[in-house]
Amino acid sequence: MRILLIEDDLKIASFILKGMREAGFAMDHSRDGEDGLHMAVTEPYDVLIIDLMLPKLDGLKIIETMREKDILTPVIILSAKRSLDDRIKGLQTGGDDYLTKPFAFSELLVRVQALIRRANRTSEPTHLQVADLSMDMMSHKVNRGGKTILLQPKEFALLEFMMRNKDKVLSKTMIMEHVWDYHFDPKTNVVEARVCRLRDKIDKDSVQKLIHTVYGVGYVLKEAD
Amino acid sequence: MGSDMFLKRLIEIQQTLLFRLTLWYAFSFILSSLLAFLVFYFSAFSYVYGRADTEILSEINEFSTLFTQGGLEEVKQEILLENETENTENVFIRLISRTGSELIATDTSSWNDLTPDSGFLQAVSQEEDVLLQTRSMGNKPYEVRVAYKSLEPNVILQIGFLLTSETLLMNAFEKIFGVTMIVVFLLSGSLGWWMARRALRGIEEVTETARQISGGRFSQRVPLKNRGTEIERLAKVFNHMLDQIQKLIQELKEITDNIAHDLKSPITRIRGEAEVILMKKRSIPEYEGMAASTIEECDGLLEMINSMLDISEAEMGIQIMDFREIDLAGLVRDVCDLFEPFAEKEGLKLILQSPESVRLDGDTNKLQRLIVNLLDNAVKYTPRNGRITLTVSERTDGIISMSVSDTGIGIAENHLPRIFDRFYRCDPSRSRTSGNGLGLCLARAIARSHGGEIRVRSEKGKGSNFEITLPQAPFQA
Repeated sequence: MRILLIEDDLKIASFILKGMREAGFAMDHSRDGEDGLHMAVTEPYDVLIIDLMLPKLDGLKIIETMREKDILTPVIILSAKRSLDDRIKGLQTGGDDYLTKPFAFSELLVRVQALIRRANRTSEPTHLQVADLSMDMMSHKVNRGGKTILLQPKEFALLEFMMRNKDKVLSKTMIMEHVWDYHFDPKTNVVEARVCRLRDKIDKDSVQKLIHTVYGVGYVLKEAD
Repeated sequence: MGSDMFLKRLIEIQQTLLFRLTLWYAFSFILSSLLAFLVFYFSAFSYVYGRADTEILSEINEFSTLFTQGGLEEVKQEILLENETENTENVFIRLISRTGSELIATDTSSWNDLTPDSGFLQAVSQEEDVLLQTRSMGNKPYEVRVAYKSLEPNVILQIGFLLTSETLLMNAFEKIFGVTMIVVFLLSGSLGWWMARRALRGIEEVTETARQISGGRFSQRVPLKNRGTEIERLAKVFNHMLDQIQKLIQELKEITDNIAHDLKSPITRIRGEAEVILMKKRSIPEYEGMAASTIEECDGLLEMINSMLDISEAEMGIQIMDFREIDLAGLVRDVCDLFEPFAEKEGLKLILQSPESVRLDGDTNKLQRLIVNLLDNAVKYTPRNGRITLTVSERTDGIISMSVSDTGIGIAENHLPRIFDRFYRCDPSRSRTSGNGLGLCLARAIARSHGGEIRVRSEKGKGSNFEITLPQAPFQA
């Protein structure tokens, strides 16, 4: 998978490039709008990550020109503007997703992968499996090592989100947004209490722990260290 | 250059209210004086000339009577007689034919042009009446009133009176008027200017105060003299506005100070931690710990910035909010569900008293935030084994009431009036655990942006109760 990042802030670009490469993507980078547009229309990319405020040509203009030329590569917009209007404008111009700065890197990663899945029309799998933990989306059944685990609806949604993004560290903010659709962080650590309870149900009776806390960052579901 | 400046200044003066008021005043004063004079002038005119006409008509009548009694010869005799008695420089009497040739006349040596008006001759020979005409005649310095009367088909009596005293009188009158008008003009101009200036002095004072304030003297106010005039009212409103602005500036200053303070603390922590870590080689877990703590601090900072923005957004009103019909009961239920595991872990009892559904026009995201903020406080300040109760109820008057009450540590009375202020914290140390002091402020801004209000009742040591009232359809006309 090949991704083009158009971002003029070198420090931001540097951590995105590093993180995405570590996640297994081939990354190209452009520092200004004109150059970025040229690369976007001449090279085949799977996803474009475009900052809005760019030298020479702004992000929205790049997307507009690209779409006029029928280049339908999925685009994630990065912007410091967080108002609803800006978001709507970005999506109307032809952006596929909109991420406000500052953002968690893991959030960007999750969204990039969601865009790739959508673009390739790979339907969401109806059966998820991590080690001996399995989840069936149709029957809403979860079992670990053959033993059925009963989950409340939100616990089910949380586990589904973690299984779909296995091996990725998910922050509290991301969990609040994707599972509860709350676009802010309660000061009370409600997510931690949730994860603890879920962990009790999933990991308590097994030797191999699947749900791990990454101190200060969030939670991850993975098979082993 | 110089004339340009002068022209500019002239235009400036022309545009001032003082100039215009003065002009209007002078104009209306002159107009009414002029009107009064004209009325007087024309009455005097008709009176003076009326008297001349009476005199000339009685002379005509006299001759007509002579003619009827003694015929043309008698008239001729009388004319010759008149020659001796009348001042022939001012009066002439003569008989003329229809073609204008003179038959007999008084001494007309001082009149060098007595050519009669042919139109009048024509007209007078066809009727009985006397015809009168005012005209200038040759060398005479004043106008002459001339009367024609037909005595016989071919004999016309013509009498002319020189209007000496009448014209002199009217001329004197006009001269007096001219002088008076100049005086009136000057007087009304300066009087108008004085009056306008007096009326506008208040405005000048307001302007002067505004100028001083622009120069940085924010405590300056317009002096009030309690005259009860419109200007006085302007000054009062102006002063009130200044008070409000000064209050706002003060608030803004406090907010800025608070932000600066609240930014400095986490930045000090981030920087200090990173610096200490770098002072010598550390173990990987120590580096990891620092990175994690940096993320946590940054999230805290971001949360504060976002809360500030959310507060100003909510205070700006509904235009940027996403209002639609929502089920508040369901929303509160979801929030309770979110907090339930945490409450259980902390040994708190979470009780929800609510109807199945309560319809309301509102912004889901903002109302979630409002309830979460109140619950955040409730769980934070309620010790183990405490109880937190949420209620939602629909009143009959279209108001929805929602409350969050706890059995926690409560709030001291002296803090109550200020707990909804930005950055206000009951704990003055502003330690990390006391939150950013924005939660309740945001809660209130959200309640108000929905046309509602938030109230608090609390007793130290017993617990707090926050009640929110929201109109069901806040912005329906």
